[in-house]
Amino acid sequence: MIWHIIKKDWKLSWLMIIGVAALQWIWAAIELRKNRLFLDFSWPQLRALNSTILLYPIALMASGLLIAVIVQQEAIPGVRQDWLTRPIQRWHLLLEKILFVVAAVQGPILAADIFLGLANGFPLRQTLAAAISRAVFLLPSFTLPVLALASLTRNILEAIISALIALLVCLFLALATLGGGMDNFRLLIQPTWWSGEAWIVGAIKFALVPLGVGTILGVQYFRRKTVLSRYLIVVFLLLMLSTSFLPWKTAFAMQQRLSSRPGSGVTTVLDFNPGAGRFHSPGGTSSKDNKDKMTVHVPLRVAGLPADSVLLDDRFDVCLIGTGGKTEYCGTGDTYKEFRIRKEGPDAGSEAQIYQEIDVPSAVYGRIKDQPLRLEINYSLTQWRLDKSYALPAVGGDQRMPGLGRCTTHVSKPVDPTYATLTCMQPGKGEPYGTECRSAFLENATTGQRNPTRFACYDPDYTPYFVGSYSVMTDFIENLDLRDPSDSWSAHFPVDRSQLSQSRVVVRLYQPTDHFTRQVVIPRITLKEWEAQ
Amino acid sequence: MIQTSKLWKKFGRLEALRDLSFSVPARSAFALIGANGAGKTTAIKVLMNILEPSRGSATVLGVDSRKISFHEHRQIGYVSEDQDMPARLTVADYIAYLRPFYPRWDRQLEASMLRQLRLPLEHKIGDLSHGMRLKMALLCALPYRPKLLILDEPFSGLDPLVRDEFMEGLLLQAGEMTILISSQELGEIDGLATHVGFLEEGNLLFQESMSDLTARFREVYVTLENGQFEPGEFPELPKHWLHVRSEGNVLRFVDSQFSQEALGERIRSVVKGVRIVDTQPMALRSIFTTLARAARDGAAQTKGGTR
Repeated sequence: MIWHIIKKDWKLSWLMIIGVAALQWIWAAIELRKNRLFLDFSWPQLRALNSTILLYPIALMASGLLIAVIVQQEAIPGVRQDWLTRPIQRWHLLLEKILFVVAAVQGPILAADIFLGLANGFPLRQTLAAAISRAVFLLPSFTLPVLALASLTRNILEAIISALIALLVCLFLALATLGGGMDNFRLLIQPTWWSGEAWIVGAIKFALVPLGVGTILGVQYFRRKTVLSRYLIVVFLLLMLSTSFLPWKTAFAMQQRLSSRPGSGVTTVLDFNPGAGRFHSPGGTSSKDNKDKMTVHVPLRVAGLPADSVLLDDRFDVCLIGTGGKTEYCGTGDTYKEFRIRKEGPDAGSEAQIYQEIDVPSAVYGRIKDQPLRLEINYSLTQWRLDKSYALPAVGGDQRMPGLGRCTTHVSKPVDPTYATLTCMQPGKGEPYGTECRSAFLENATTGQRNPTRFACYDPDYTPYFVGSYSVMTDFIENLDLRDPSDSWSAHFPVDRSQLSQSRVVVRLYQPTDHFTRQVVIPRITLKEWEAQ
Repeated sequence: MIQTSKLWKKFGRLEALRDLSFSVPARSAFALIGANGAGKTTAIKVLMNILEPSRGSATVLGVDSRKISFHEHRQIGYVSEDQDMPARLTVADYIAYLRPFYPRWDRQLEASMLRQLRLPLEHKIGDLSHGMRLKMALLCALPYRPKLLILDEPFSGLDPLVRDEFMEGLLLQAGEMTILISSQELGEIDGLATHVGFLEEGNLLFQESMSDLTARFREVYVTLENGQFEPGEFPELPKHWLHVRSEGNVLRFVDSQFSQEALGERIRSVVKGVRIVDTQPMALRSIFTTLARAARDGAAQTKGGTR
């Protein structure tokens, strides 16, 4: 009977299915054009297509409406529907709705994603893996919740109003958890916020979605209790929200278990290095840069770093304890004050010197700055190891490289270029603007001279699966300067535009190998002594 | 075939059904009658498991109404004035869609009903008139020869011609199944119903066979030898005399417990100088209006505290 109901639903909604699919395919065609312009470094034409980004939410809304239309062929709320008096097994109907919605909504998206990957010249296997991964992500994040929501409504107007309410609630939750300007508040309600481990909260949410959707669809299709389902939605939203409170230690412990090479960071040591002296502020300003908080710079020695590795501070927590054992201040370090230490090449050594910036609220600081204190810093660290290294000509390069995808190189402008640009694109994992750690530099292949390395490890993301929120293709761009930007672009780097034809772009990709914790304990410290000079 | 026991249905504070108990014998045609808002449709929707009872229970085809599933739905035909069918499917498409759900679907019966009801197969259901939609609902309820046919206000808004066509289609099958029909078109169900239940504000006032009902109701005309009836002349009339009124020397009332033998004596015990007593059998419509009026007057008296 499932197939029989599918045929009926197709008869009733084929026109809309094709219309929505057409939107998805138009989006894919535009994306393909944008992908090509991106790799060709055709920025003006690419900018001209910027407004087409609007097509994506439009296609998404149309998909949502399509789901509502399909579900409402046999609306659940109400007492007048003919199907309620027909010998239709409820589980047949439910299964039909899920299958038909997945096929009608996600089928065209999957097809468009596969087309996009193949048309960009990527192998079927890689394309299929990325497209399926994106489809799997789309199921709990969009299709199933919309299906459950649609089962609570009896017509399109109700569905639109419900969708608007759901959107407002989601916006409120997003603002509450990710709203700007309240880092401490955000860390309080989502300790994993803005960290590579944030995906764990997302994954728990995704795992809850099928549970919530399953419960609501079960209540709707087998009990037809719409009021109860509405309460359940609120309960599940609160449950989802509560996952944001996942403590940092728990999240990091889970991340540790997923380390690809556990124990590889065992040699890493952090300790207090008072011999390094006070921090000298480059601008000569003191640490009194903020009336709400004061910053001290604690010198630390980091040792035991393997060659070609990156040590990344995912988070640090600070506690200042008075001589009587009273805790004067405890807090989480500012996201922007987490360190990244890169050891690249055999001569890089295994040690590094850093100054750990610690912010203390001004009111507390004023009271304790001259007191002897015990300082405890608890680090959650990730070691990254060099995974792949590639080189391609600095100009006119066009190569396919595993892990990077298809990469091309260009110069910023034909006459007197200021930088060489590397653009890369691939289906699947690898978000724009660096959710991975990588370095890139220009090297003269003949002389071996190198320009300063560009190191990108801004927002590490340890998500073990591909999400692909708006496209199956991911890309990144790296500008490699030919002149010194710190010197008003007048001073040339060793590899300048005259050597571009003999030069190459070297890209190095790092992979996280181990997640571990370290504690630095300074039994006696006076904060005032470690203000910046 | 249908049995309800102390059935209650509440919508918030509104009690749509109150302690409703009735039974529909197999192969009977049970008419559930009552004024608008009496609870007929609610009762039917509970029986069809479209609504869940707040208290009490109902069994349909021997199964608790809450557990009615596709097995029972294969044996139940349902026609309602407010039935929502897929508006964008054609009549032919919808019939074709329904057929596989019913193992006993009779294509010959379907064809004969189609001819009889003259439904436009190629028209979309949404484009059909109200009458055509009801005929369509009947067509979709009969070809699988249900054991039980439930009709909820099937004649509402139908013109006489369509009503006749509908009844013809219905009567074609009536002998083989149990019918539960709710309607205010009492003239139509008079010739169909074998049993009747009277609902008033969610309460079942009575249920009995049509033969018993029509036997115990008579319109009575009492003519005096001479003189006239004065208002308030008979303060102690039997309670089963309903809708009592007088015009000149004629007293009229409805006897709801009519007995040919006892009537004359009862009248003479109340009225002196009786010349003629004439009794007339009553149609279901007249019985219904009498009962409805009595119930309304009773309610009014209760509210006014005059009972």
